[in-house]
Amino acid sequence: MLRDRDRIPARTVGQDQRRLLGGAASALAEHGYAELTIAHIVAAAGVSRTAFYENFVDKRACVLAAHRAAFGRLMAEITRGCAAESLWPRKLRAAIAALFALAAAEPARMYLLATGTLAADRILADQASECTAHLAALLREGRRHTPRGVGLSDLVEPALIGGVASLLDERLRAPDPAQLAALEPEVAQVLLTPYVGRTEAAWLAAG
Amino acid sequence: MADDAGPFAISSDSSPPWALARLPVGRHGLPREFVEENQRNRLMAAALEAFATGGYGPTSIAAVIRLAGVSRSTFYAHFPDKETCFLATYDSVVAWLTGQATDAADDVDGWAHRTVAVVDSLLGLLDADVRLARLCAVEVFVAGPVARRRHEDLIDRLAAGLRLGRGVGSSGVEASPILEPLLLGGAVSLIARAISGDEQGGRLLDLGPELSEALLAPYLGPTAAREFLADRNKHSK
Repeated sequence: MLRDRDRIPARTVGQDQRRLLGGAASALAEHGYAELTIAHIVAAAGVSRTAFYENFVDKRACVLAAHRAAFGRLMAEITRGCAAESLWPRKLRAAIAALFALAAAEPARMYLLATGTLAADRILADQASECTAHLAALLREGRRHTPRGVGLSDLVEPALIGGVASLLDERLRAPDPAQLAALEPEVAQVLLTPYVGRTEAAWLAAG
Repeated sequence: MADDAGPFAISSDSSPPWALARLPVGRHGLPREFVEENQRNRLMAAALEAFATGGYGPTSIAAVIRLAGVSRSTFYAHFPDKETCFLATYDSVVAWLTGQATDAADDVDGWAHRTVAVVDSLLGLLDADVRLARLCAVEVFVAGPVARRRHEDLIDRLAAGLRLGRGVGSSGVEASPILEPLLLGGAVSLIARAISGDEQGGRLLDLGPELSEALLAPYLGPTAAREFLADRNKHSK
């Protein structure tokens, strides 16, 4: 006997998965991880519960995949933004612009990356920590390109990345485009200052 | 010592943790207010244990009352639901932590010395009872929107103290208004990360020197912050 899932063309499964990843992000932004249910995810994704279980074993697996996809998207945008610049401080400025452009275009996905609600689940927390560490390592590159970076505390980069995440966590729960746009140069200034100093940071942040 | 009493002592001064002891069974002639406060404290002590070890999401009211050794009706006499119980527990923990940190910085002269005293005090308290760190740096984010606002209120209060540094060094004068919430949000995420592995103590204390440096540097400048801490360290030995 032909089961239902055998009738579904592969293309549809891929579409369902994409919708589920988007649905997981928006449902998480609305309900938070503790309250999030598979019913919330499938309702936000507009797919059936059967389609959910064809793609993921449980809620956590779906959120893990959505988080991974969102981080992949962010890194692709950052890479693209940085490629146009040659000097490190300008690359950092471009990376921040890419982050905020993505936050404005896809707030639920960026909320998924920023939110502290994942910290309550050990496996999600580990994946989120890896992403923070990856971004902190990129920021740390600045030490090699600017004389001021020598001798900075090792915690500077993880603290800055964690701090930006906490601000976005707060702002992206009820995203306001004008407020986000105002936040961008402020974040740029704080992130650039340890590497290039206050004056140059203010100038680059405004640019 | 006040430290030994923890956040759930009935009196905020030098009480031992007797507030958590069970009342004698049967008729005991204790005043009703005392009995009720004792029950409430026992519930919050149990809630701290349950939420910090089991997580806010999975923890049921049944788990809290089992740990507290009170009846379900006693729970509902004090709290209408799990969220309100969490908020009361969180508020008590934060009031106790900030009270202790304020005491630690009270007689200290100078913004930079006070900042380091607050950092050392808070990390010491969180390290001594990792459940408090778990509640304030992890579970508060999953306990609903009201809990989140309480966390943001706490960050605002701490930010006001940190912001005083703008009048001290030359570096922070014209810094962005988001500097303080960003630094403190970063500090909370570092605390969450430090306790996310094994639950053993000590890792939060290790965070102290570098965290102080990261908080002072934007105001004093990185070199001056490092020198200040080296000098302070030399004098404290």
